[in-house]
Amino acid sequence: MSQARKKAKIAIYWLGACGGCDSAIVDLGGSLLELAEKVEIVLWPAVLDFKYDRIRSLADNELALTIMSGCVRNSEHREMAELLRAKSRLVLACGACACFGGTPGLANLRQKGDIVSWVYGDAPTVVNPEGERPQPTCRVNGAELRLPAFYDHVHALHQVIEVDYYLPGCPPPVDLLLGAISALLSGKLPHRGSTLAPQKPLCDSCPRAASKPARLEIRTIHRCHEVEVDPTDCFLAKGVICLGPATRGGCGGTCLAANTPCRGCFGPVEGVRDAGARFLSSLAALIAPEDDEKLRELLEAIADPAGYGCRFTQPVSILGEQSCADDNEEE
Amino acid sequence: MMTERHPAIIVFTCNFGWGYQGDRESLALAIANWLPVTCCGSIEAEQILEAFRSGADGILILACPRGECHYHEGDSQIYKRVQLIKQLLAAHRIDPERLAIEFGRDPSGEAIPARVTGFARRLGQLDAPLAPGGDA
Ligand code: SF4
Ligand code: SF4
Repeated sequence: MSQARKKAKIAIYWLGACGGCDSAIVDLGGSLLELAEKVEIVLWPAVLDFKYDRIRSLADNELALTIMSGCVRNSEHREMAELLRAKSRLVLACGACACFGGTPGLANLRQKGDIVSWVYGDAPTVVNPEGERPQPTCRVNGAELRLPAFYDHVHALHQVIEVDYYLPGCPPPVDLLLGAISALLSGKLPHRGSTLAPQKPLCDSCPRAASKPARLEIRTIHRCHEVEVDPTDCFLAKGVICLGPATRGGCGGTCLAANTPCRGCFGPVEGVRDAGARFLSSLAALIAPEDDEKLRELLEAIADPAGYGCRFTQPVSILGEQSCADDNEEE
Repeated sequence: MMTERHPAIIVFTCNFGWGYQGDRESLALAIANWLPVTCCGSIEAEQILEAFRSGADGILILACPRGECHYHEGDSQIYKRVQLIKQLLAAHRIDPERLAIEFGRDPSGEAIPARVTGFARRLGQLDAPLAPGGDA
């Protein structure tokens, strides 16, 4: 009882993630070491070795904060998300995958059966003459082994557990990450459910915006590897698709600085229901052909418009949203 | 798999081109799910997607003739928007033919029901729609 200055406990966990969000946390560098002085990290699979039983043995709400990255695609993701939710006073959805489903969400444009057939059969690099498929259970040396069930869809975290705060990005930038963690541990909590990033579109803070003409009109479309855009020029004004107008700012413009257009990892600006639909609408408005023939050409020159619209947000889009409860638990 | 049920069709028409001289009440009785709008250029992508999400079998947009928009360019704006949304529909395994835009003018609005019937016939020839995002 007298351990008056008990450190706050936190967990950092990945679900269906690439580890990029964990790397971003590692990139906090000195600030991470300062943080580690102040809190006790009870779970961080990307970096430290801990056992899940330790988490199960914690009291409910014992963790001050869990930072969760990644999407939910299988029953293990869901089980861990639910366990950590029960043990945590606050949950931060960290990164595009946790916030919106992220790039793994593009898999929702294919049916589960097609994905399995491709990965275990049809892909040209696969050699599987027996046609083996992963089974939910198998016996090895007399013991039964179980695999997590692969769900029908990729889900964003809030479709599975309650999420208190959101921090988008792929991965989130270090300054916003540090700001979010400090705010959430300080007890000075922002409005619950809020996204801890600016509300305005990326264009508003883009240094290239100065070169945008007052009335932007797209008369040619290029893919970004086909032309070299001057580092001060607006991509859209040069006919290179950039999602800046429809994407929340706050990323720090790292892609733009590397002369690469925005792909939308910060998701929609505040209040927009469907990032992809809004982007495609704004793009359509800018296309200014001389005639219908040219219009058809321009529209055809946009490689994979649906991909632009869905890249990070398909699982939370109007057409894509699916409740996790509806997904089959078993094959 | 074809069923006998009437397809659920949402019909948007521009008030400047379609039915503005007709008897609105009898037109409304003849056209199920009729949504007259002040300019087809104002139909949002989200409205179209929400309609499909809520189970619409098709959406028919009747806009003014090309180049004759009262607001200057609503016809071309909705045309471009529809072309891109069709790609989003196709990616979600919804036949893009389920979203149609036709340009023309019919002050009495008497031609609207026939346009809808024609569209319904074309929808009937398409494969049964999949629930958005659902697995077959
Ligand atoms: S948001 Fe990006 S960096 Fe983070 S887990 Fe997903 S893919 Fe990786
Ligand atoms: S469209 Fe892209 S390049 Fe142009 S101002 Fe916006 S973010 Fe910058």
